[in-house]
Amino acid sequence: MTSSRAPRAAWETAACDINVLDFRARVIAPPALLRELRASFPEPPAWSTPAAPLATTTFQLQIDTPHPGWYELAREGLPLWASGQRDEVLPYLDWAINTAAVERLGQRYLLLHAGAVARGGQGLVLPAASGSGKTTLTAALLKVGFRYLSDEVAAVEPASRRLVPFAKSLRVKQGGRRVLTPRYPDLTSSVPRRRLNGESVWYLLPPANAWPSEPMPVRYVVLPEYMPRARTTLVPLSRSAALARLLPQSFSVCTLGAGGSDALVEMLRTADCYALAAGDLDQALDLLLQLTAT
Amino acid sequence: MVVQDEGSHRIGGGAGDEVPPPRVPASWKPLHSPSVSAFPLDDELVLHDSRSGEVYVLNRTGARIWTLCDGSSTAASVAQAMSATFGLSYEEALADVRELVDDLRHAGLLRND
Repeated sequence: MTSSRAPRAAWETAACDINVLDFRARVIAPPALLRELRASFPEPPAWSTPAAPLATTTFQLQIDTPHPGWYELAREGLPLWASGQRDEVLPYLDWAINTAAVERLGQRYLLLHAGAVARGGQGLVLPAASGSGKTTLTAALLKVGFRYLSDEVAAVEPASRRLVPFAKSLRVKQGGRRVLTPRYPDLTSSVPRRRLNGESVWYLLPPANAWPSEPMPVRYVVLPEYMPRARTTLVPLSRSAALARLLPQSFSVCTLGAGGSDALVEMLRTADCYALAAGDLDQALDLLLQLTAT
Repeated sequence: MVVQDEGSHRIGGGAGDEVPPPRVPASWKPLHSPSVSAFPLDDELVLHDSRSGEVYVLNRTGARIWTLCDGSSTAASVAQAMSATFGLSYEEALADVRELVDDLRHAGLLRND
């Protein structure tokens, strides 16, 4: 700070920790930004986050760097990204934290690009590519009593093959917001965040009591696909077909080596697999409620 | 015959498939490519090529042929083993082996030792 400028409250910095399983992101940033960041990450259940994390990654956000009015984010002291747009800062920081969490946790957990919920002590994994309706389905399932583990990254302990929470808020896109608004009226008034690709997303914090009380065994693998106006069906799928579709949705099978692929195969051996063609959200929920009622 | 199957490839069709002319010599000694991992599940075998990211599913017969392709057996000896196991004539078995090995070779999953 040069002596010719008046001190600005925005230049003050503070730090907060975001914990996801054994990963900790230490974020140093102006307090106002930290408050917004803190509000966009749910507090994970205490049993899922050890006191001493496996890995800590430090992010620092500086204002007026590299130009006046700009924001610069550094990871472990190395500049990562800069922008003159205030509304891009939180989505990018949020993305950077989740990316670092996936990188670090992928060395320890089997991480799948999937929603993950549980009911009656049985885990249900919803693996799918982006745009398949994972978040919409996950958010709707929470409203009918399912427990929450993640809307996008299913984390599985390789040894026990049980699901643990990858604590993040649900990111609802425009299409999902339309059908979720009756279930989450706050989505009507909440302000969207703008991703770098220009897409608007609404952050939805899971209720504090939505977490399961312990790791959940994977009982069901359901591959969802949003199919507008199609008849909603839930069809059994062979485990090999499920594996063929799960492998491309894995963040860490290669990172974990043989242990990762073995864990994935073993996880499927004890799971029932289905393909869900979701043309109607209510019908999809009914089918999943019937499935998990047994 | 290789068939696209919702994001993966299904290899090993049943009777009635159009059989292309065999291009793999009977003396060929097929060997798994090092970038391929195989996962047996139920009666099928899932192959994942880490180099291309492609995933393939072999049926029970295809899985048996894959297992026999160890770099020391010729396509002819694989066909003899298949003939004995599944009660096929040697000619039928050799045609099946050649077709599948050809598909797998083109997919980059097998190479000649």
